[in-house]
Amino acid sequence: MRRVAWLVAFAALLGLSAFLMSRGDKPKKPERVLKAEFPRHPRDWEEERNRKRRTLPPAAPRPGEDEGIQRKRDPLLVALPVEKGKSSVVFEVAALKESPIGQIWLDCMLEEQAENKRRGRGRDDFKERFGIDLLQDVERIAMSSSKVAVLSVAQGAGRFDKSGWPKRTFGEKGAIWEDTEGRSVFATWGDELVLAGVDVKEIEAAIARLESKSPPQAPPIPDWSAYGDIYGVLSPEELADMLPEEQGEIAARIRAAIDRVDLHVDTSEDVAIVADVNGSNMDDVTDLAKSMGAALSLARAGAEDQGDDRLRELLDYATIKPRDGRFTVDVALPLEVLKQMGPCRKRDAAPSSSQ
Amino acid sequence: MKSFVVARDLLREAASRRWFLALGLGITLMLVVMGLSLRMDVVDGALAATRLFGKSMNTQIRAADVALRPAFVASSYLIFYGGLLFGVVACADFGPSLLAPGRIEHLLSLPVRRFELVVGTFLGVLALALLGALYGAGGLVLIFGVKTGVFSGRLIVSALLASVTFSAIYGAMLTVAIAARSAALSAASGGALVLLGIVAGERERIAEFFDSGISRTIFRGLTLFLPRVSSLARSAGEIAGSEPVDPAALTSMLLGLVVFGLAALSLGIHLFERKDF
Repeated sequence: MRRVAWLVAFAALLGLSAFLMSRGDKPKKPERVLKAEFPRHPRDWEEERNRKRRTLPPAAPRPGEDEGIQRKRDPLLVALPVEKGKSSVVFEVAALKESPIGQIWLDCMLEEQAENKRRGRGRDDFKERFGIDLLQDVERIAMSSSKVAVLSVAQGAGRFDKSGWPKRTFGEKGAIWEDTEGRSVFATWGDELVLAGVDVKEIEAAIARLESKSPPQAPPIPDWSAYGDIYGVLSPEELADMLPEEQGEIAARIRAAIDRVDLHVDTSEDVAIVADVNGSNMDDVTDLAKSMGAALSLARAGAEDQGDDRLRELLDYATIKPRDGRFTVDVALPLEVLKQMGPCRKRDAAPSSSQ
Repeated sequence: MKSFVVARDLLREAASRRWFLALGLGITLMLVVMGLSLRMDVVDGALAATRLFGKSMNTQIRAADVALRPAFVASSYLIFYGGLLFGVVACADFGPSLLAPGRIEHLLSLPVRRFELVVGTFLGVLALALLGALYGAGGLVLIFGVKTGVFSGRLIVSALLASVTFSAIYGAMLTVAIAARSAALSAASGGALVLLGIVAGERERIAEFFDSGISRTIFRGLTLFLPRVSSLARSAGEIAGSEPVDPAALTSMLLGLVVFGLAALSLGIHLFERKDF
């Protein structure tokens, strides 16, 4: 009996082990792998698109420049304010609308639309008044911190006649509508650009730049930098101002060491952000890269201590890559995290706030 | 209690073997070389630069624990599969040497019961696997910890998982050694079990390639009893890389693996009890 006991134990244990191991067999739901394509240069189709967008005749060459190398310009980029120390960002609305995060946020925005309509500030009301469907007619929106927005719209979409605001012409192709209370200014240039702002002088200056024949000032966003679904340039001063007070030291170093920050965002899968940080002093820029890496690391540790998993996860994907006197900040934002932000945040927050 | 004495004797025997001396020296050499040649520049918890033998390896600046994850995952797989293969080859001879003519008669003349000899040999190899894995993983954790300030116990947990997997496979190897008294067959059975275990770890996915019916049922039936080596290696990697693991599935699989080792050991004891020396 004792001899058989080990054999019985073997059979029983083998059966038990098979049972236990099979319970762990369920194929694990595959983890969603982060798919972020960091935009580092324009793709072929973007270069082709940009070429088609250059419809503005070349300006006169600068003294000493060969006329032969002048090429046409993108009117939207030319219209942007060229004032130093200001940021400008372009949103490719058509591409953003088609992106996964764009679709998700659009759903939330449409849900909100009914509510907004009741308040008389919905998308339909805007279209009724100004003739522009913000989702259908706008191809690109360029925003400047000079409080000027330039919209590239479908031909003839910008019609402000129903606004009831007084209209005047400006330059060859410009028309300006000014709110009688002086709070808002809209303008069209030709049938493809709409300009909006609060300061009529900024709008007039933009139209003047578009129609100027004299040698141009370099636009804030050069042609070569027009790639990604969102792109632009951030001024060091405004970037430093965005940092919280406790990051005062880094803010001061940003102001001192950085000349410009080029921003590019790809939203074709998860959202990938690349910020190219350039400065004239290689050592200062390298030191700043290390300081920013340390700040990100400390912020991540802080988020972990406070149990803020969402922020910790976001900071997990933040890297800084120093090279040749400049550095790149890469940040990937997973869709799962972004789903709970932006216009969807209000919807998700509503039930908890009501509790 | 007497099993522990047998296990201690096995550890003494292992210490005198070239295989294990080479393993100990190899791990020590690797740790010393890494310790001396690896330079890591850490600023407030962010890994700013890494140099191995003076050559820049990493130009990204990111949180040190995040930057170290790929290194921990790679180390985990190295310890897991490297440890399994080394263990299968180096430990295959312990069973047959226990049964060597002259030695077994001497052992059986001592006041030790037969099953205690088998259990002692198994425990000795388990201790050996644990020591090797902990030395390698612990050394790496210490080196990375001293250089970056990130002391993560996850790689040690991952190494423990590898040790448990090997000990279960060794249970089967010991049984084959008792049945055949052959180190070569023992090693071959261990190697086969590792390979089959890799397949068994993916059985759900592989089963889909079989036509539903008898062939799929046979495949499922055959792999049902095998240790899920690749699943455990993946879990070990996930633990080392701070990725989420399903604790219920892992616990169940780990318990199943321990019970598999005990089952193999029971069969080995049964065969040993029936042997006439």
